[in-house]
Amino acid sequence: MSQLIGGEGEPHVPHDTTRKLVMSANQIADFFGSQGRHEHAAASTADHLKSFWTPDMRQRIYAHLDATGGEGLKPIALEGVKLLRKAAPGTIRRELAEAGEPSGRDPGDDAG
Amino acid sequence: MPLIKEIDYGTPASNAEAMVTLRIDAETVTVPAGTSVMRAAMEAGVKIPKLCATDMMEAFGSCRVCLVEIDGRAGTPASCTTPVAEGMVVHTQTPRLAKLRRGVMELYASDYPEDFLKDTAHGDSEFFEVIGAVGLREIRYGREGATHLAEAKDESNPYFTYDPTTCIVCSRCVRACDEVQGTIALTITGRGFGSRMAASQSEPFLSSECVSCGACVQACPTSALNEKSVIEIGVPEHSVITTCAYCGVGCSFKAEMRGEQLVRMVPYKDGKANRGHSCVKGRFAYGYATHRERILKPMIRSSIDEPWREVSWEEAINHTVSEFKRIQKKYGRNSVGGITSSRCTDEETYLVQKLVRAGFGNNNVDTCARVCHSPTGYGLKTTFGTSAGTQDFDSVQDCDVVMIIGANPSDAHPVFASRMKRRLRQGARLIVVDPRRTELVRTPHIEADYHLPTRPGTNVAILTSLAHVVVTEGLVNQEFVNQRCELDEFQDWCDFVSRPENSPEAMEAYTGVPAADVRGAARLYATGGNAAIYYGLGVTEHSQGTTAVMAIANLAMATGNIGRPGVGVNPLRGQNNVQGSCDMGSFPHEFPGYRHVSDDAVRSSFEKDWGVELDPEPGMRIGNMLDAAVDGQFKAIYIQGEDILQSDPNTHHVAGGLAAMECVVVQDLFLNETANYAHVFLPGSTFLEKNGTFINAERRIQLVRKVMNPLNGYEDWEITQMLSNALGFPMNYGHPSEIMDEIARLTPTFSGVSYELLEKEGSVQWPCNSNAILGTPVMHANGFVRGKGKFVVTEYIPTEEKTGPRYPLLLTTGRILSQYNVGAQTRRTANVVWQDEDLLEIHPHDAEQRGIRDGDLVKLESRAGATTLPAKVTDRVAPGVVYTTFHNPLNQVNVITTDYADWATSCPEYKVTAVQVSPSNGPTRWQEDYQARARKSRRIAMEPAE
Repeated sequence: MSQLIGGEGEPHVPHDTTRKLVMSANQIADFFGSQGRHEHAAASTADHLKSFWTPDMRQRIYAHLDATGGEGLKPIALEGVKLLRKAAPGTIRRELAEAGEPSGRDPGDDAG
Repeated sequence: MPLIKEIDYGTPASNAEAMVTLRIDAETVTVPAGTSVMRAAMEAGVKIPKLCATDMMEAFGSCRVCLVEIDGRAGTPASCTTPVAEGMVVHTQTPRLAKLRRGVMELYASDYPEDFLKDTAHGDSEFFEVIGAVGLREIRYGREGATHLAEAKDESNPYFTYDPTTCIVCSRCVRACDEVQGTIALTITGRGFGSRMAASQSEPFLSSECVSCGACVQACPTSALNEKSVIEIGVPEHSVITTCAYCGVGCSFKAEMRGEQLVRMVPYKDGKANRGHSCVKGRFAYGYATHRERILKPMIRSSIDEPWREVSWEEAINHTVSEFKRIQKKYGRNSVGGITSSRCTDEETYLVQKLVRAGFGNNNVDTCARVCHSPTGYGLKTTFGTSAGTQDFDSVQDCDVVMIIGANPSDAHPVFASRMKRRLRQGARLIVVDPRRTELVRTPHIEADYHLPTRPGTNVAILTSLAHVVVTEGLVNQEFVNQRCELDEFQDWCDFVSRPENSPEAMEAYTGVPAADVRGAARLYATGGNAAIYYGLGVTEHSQGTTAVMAIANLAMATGNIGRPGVGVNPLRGQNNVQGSCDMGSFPHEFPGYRHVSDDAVRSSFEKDWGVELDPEPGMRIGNMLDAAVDGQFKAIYIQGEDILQSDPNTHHVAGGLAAMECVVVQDLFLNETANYAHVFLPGSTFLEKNGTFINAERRIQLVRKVMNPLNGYEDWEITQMLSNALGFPMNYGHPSEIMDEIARLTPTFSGVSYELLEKEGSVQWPCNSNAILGTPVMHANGFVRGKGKFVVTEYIPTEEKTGPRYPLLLTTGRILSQYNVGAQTRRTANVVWQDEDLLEIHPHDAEQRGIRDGDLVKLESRAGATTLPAKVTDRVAPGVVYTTFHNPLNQVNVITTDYADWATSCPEYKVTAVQVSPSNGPTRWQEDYQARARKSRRIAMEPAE
């Protein structure tokens, strides 16, 4: 099958989905870590991953955690991933809502 | 519907509150003070003949045809320039007026081609209407003296002709270019008998400053300026009102037809988005719909190395379904997905996401908003509670200060830009935040008070420093904040922005913008009156795109610039229906109406209506689908009306993902770049061939009406329905209105929407429900949708994309006026005459250092890839910054862009790519290989001879 990935002599970036997920988790954690309430940063990170990452993506980052201890993940991101993994469904969001923190799943604001 | 001719009242309406009553002939009429006698007469049903007046422009009073007699006043004043007065008595038809008008028309006709005067085919122009109205039967003047009848036509513009022999120098075209379009490309040269209309410095239209918007053609009363299509095809005989399929302005047009042949598109005056104006694309560039490259028959192939084979619809549909079922059985439920179109209708995107969720059984659906305004959705939902802009376009009329950030509306939203420029010429102040000196920064009639050329990737730095000034200099609208915003978050935000490291002085090291300019701009925004922010992809397409949107929202809230006309936060959505596509639930984590798939109550409502259980987990975004494809887990995709190979970043990666799939289905008009990797091609329909709705950047829902039967046989929604039925998930819609009824049933912000309402009102802006029966032009008037507005701390985090010795320049990207998105439509029209390939804008210093001259071919290279394209040396970009567009697959500019993306939404960071530029002898080997591959992929097997 013909492909056009990184033809000879052409620079390209090697594909690594796990690296991308680590980078993404760090970016998310950087944002929530910059918000005033650091104590909720990991929870907000976890909630964002739950809201926007597929189960497969979450499984992949857990696998990375298991295999490497979370290599490359910044502290808040690492804490967020661990929190997400062990939290019962709905608890993170409930706690954030009570604390008034941003959530990727703010209820039906566009519901009118 | 017969040919629609809107009433022309002759002069614009007056906004005065005081009313005046007068008598015009036998009619007593009451109108606002300041109304012209001409307009007042027309409102009373009395039509005064006119030539130089039209209600799109201010009165001019030159033609001397619209004369009236007024009791108690001497002479015969022009009715267009005479304002009404209380108790005035006007006579529009008297023997004296008849003689004067006939005399004036006789003079005009004496210098007019005789054969035109006799040719009834020209009877539809205003000039001939007035000839009839004044009863002109003979021309007593001879033609032996000087005339203009030997002047040559200007046929340089691909779409219209200027015939000076039929020009009466009424100046309507000049004034249209001035007042309506704002380009001011036309003028009257000479004096007296020597007066002639001229484009720029008496140049042909094509080489002048004319932007081919068509306003002059529309304004011309004699057809001296006339569409070539009318000359070639003939005068249209019926009209259908529809909505443009190009940009997010959503202009309303009259599609004027002869049978099923489109003669021309004329802007509809009652269109609330465009108010009777247009740009070159919507007005003239519709020829792609019947282009010879358009594919009209379904095609399949078992391998992307084989030529295509034309098949019946039944075979194509069954083959697609069979493949998707096979793949899901082998690789799992999540191994397939779909991409909705931001160019197809709301009803069509709704059906695609419904097919994916209910038919495929997962939430792997996404849309091109992923790569443009997804940060707008996240950012504004977080801060205000609604994932869309806050105003309508009319709001710009009430602006005192306009701030444009990362947008170039003159090229990307030209009709809205014209309205904005009108307001700016009236005295509104302008701040432009853009690395590039866009057109609006300085024109002959508009100059930005502040141009902040912030370095690519530093939007959050500059926005936060603007906020620093607002807070530390005491410019916060505390009353607004106290009433309308969450105060704890506001205090956190104030503490944050006030820090010295967020000052303009400290941020100058990052942005490169002098601190004094930032302070001046902040003070102007905060204290200049009604201040509105308009922004584009120069804000969103960054690793901190969402953060920048929230920073914009913070500024608007802090200064109280929300909730009324003239203010607001206005994302300039790029495509005709990207807003609608998002509204219709095209994102993998949200149902229609922006409600998360994990919300049990919402999901349950869809499950009940659709009769299936739905996945409560978010699905894959486009980037995730491609990653999963390369990883061997994602194997099939249904792409409607999108060309991700050309439009998405890191072309090598997109190609790798597509190549790894086993069934790529492309539903489109042409064999686009993505189709090079497709196994099934389903020919789509254009906006001229379907019914439905588009939603523009104002949240305005407008009807799209079919003007001709689909050449491919089906409207796009019918194709999706066929797929769904074959898959086993029944869809039985008979008309798109039924789909909208379902949308309304399931989506609270749309619950009041119906085709009946849209037919009656013309358009409505959502939310449209029991709280807002006729829609919502301005949002958050009495409170934010989320309750209180939320301030969010916006710490500047530099992008990972860094320049260095190998890649010392920063590439940013944008659009040009004559081309649209990937160019699939506009490259197949005469618009290519203005620019037919992407150019690399490079500063003279950077060019000189590299030995590059204007027009030279250059290699543009990043760590992701390389391509070549011609250079344009210009100081519109700053040293260290280069700029290009992505309209042409020959250049494949996205081979350069990287995988860096917005933290919240994965919107690619198109606007910041570290590159190097060097002289080149020709295309890169990759470009040559790609073009060869593309040519091979487009082969269509011939039917064997009988």
